[in-house]
Amino acid sequence: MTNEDTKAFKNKRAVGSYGETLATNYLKEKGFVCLKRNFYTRYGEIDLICRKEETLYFVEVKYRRTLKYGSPREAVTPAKYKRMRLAAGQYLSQNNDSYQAVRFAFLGILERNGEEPVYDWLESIEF
Amino acid sequence: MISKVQSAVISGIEGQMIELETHIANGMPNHVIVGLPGQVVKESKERVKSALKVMGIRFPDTRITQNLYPAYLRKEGAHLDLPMAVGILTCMGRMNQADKRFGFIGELSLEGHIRPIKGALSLIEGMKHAGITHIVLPEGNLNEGRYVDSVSLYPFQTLEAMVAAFESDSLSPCTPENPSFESIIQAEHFRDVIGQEGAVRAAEIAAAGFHNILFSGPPGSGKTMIARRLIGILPPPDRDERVEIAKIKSAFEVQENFEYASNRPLRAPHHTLTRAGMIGSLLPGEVTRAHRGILLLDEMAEFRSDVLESLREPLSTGWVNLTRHHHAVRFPARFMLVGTMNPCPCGNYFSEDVACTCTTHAVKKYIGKLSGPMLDRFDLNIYIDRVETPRGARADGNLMRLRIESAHALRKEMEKAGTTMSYDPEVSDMADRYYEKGKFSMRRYKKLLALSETIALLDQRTRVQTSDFYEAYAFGGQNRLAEVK
Repeated sequence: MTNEDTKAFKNKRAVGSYGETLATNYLKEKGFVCLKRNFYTRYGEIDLICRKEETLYFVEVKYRRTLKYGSPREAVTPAKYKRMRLAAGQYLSQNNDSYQAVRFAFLGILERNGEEPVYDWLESIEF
Repeated sequence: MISKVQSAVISGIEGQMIELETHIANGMPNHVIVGLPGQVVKESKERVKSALKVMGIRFPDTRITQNLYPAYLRKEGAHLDLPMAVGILTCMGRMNQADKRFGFIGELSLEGHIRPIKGALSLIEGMKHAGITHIVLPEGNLNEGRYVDSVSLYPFQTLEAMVAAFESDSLSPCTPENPSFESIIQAEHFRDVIGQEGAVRAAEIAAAGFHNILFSGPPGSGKTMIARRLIGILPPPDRDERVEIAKIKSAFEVQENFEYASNRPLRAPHHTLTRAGMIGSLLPGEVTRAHRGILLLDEMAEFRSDVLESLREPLSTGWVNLTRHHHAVRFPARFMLVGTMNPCPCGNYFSEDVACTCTTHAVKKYIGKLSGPMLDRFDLNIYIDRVETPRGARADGNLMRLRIESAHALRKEMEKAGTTMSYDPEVSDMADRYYEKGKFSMRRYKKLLALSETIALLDQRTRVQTSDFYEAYAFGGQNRLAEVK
């Protein structure tokens, strides 16, 4: 965390949590219903699980305040995607709701110092 | 948006046009290359990415799919870096879609330099055959490109310069100077040969007619020495032959200061060579690298016998046909075979001065490494013994070369005029009589007549005399090695 940051965070988890809050609000506005935040399994984790109509979305949220380390998109690797799939399987076996479709989605948030956050929503990701 | 870029890949030793399609779609950052890319092509994406970054262009963090058409053909070679970069730049709108007549080849460095590549000559020819007459290539390959007729060449050193030229309409083909076809004469080396008049004469005949020749004899008698000097007295290659030689050479090495193949190749592989190394597999083998030149097999009996036997087809057809991945390739392999060997493990079997210490069985086994059909493919079989005196006359390579070149010119002249050699009636009678006595095979019969013709041509005659046939028979009629068997 650099000095130029105006928002002070205690730790990395706090940053992530803030990003996920932004994400939840953004998705709510778009008509999504958020079911779960930070779903952890021993194989991997999912930042956000939500649904819209009959589709279930597993969302990876990436919050960035600078492009110094690449764009939010570039931070998602095939390995990360694989862990998401494993965790998603776990979630589906634990919950007995019914869906028409399941999707893996990505939401990048870039909030530069003093600027409005920019959202980058990808409905469906694949590698 | 989908962009299309033309380029080429090497198949066999010929270039073949390919088309590269690029599609940039929204999605997670991923660069996928499909259409049977080889390992080098897969690694291209890192070089392309870095080269674009150096130009100050943000590499798209979206899904890039690049497809190489036709999909069945295996694509190998770093020269696809440049077309891939052009495809992405066009897709991004940083470059206009290039005209259909444009083809791109070149390897990129991480800094965005366009580096010279292997096989440029074949690639350019391949594109030309597909109607691509405007070729963007690395500046280092310009020398190679100028040997292909009726194409416009656009050499560049950096990707940035290339993009700038395309965008500012300042694109103009370079007009390279005309290629030279000088050849370097190395016939003087024959001065090193002392005595051995018979073998030197045989070498002259072999060189004049591209006849396969086998030297056998005790160690230190000068077999290899004469064999190696043969390359210097071969008739110089004509224009078409030079193109063929250069294409093969270019497929193996990056030649920044490309000198045209002024001479015929001499390949002298080590005797541990494998069959794949000899006839080729993925890459052309030694027989193809010796195309239009000499394949020298020193210590021939030490080569693996399956490797030697694999030479039989190329020797008679001049081609190697291979099938890989349901795809047939054909490598040219018209070479002159020159072999040297000892007649037995100790080397002195036929020697007049030194006694042979090998058992009969050992001798038979040693010579047996060369099969009958293999021995039959040598037009001349020369036995070289120790020279009598170390101060004998030296061979005059320049004179030999002069005779050989005149003979070659005469032969070319006859080919042009469509005339054939004529024979004194006694010659044909004699040849028939020898054949009927069962002294040799039909192949040998033909080879002897061909040898007689070469000997007549060396004498600037188009009519074969009996003396020509006698000389041919002396050099190629009998085979002392075959008699031991």
